[in-house]
Amino acid sequence: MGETGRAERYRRMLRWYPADWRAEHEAVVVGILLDQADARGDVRPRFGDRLALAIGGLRHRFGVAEGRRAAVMVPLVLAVAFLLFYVSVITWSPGVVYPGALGPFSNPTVIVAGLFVVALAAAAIGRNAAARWIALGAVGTQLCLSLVAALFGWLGPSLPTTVLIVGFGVIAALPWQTPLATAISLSALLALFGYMLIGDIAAAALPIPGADIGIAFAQVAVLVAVIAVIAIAARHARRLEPQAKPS
Amino acid sequence: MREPTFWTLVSLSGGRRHGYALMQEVRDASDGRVELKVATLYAVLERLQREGLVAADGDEAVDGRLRRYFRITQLGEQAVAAELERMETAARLARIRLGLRSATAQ
Repeated sequence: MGETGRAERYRRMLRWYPADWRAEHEAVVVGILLDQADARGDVRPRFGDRLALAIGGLRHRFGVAEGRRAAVMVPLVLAVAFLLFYVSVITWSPGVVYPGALGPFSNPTVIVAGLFVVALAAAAIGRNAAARWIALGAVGTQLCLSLVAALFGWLGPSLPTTVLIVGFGVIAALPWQTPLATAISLSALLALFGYMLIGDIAAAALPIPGADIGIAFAQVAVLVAVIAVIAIAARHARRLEPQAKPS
Repeated sequence: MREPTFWTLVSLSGGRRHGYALMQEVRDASDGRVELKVATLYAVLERLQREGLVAADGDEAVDGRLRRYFRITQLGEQAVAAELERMETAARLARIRLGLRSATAQ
């Protein structure tokens, strides 16, 4: 087998790594593998090396090498804390039979809570890319639940709840680079949630003519903003792949 | 600091190295105890670059193979020095403890 054929064999061992990583490092790593093979007198790749590169590539894809990131962890911790409260206090209704009820819960938001717990666990062990993908999945699930709940008159999740959960999920999935930006966006989200919640309570407590229409308009505007953020997130979804660092 | 990281930094303290030379250097410097696989070496180098302890130092093509050279940074040298200090302190404390224990046993 010629040098080109050998190089191709070793190159195929790197298929486990993300494409952008291969574009940056493949030629160098194949060179090291060939140097090593020459020194050992190998004519073909060893099983141990194949296995190590497969594991290395998968670790790269799932972000193990990144370590914990506060910008991912903090919104996930807040989301899980809120969802534990929401699921165990707000939706916990054993015996209630109502459209959308799931077991002892009055709506299926417990599924989203489960996804956020898994995302947090992934972020806690440094699998940031996996955590961010799961968070994005939780966001999509929450939006679907919210839409179905509105269409079929379920007992929630309400719009303020959805905005808060989606907001936490988006901030975790597309983390900011600086702690200040993370803090500002989380504060803005909590302020928004507070405003919407107070609006809902005020509309129910003070039936002022026209007030409910004003609040509804404001809430629709907020929902449009959330959908716009999701669209931007989807556009930048490729950033969820761990980026190869320049060597 | 894990052993592959420590020996990689120690090996680079001797000057810039390309990937395979670094693997050999680590094996020799550690008296054969640490044999890095290519995947491990590259993962260590990427992490050390992210942390600013190591920097890439140019690519060279030799016999049709691309070689990327790496060098230790000032921060990397400080990290090795701090790790050596920690190891020396640990060894000194352990020796004292062992000395006390053997004195008590007599």
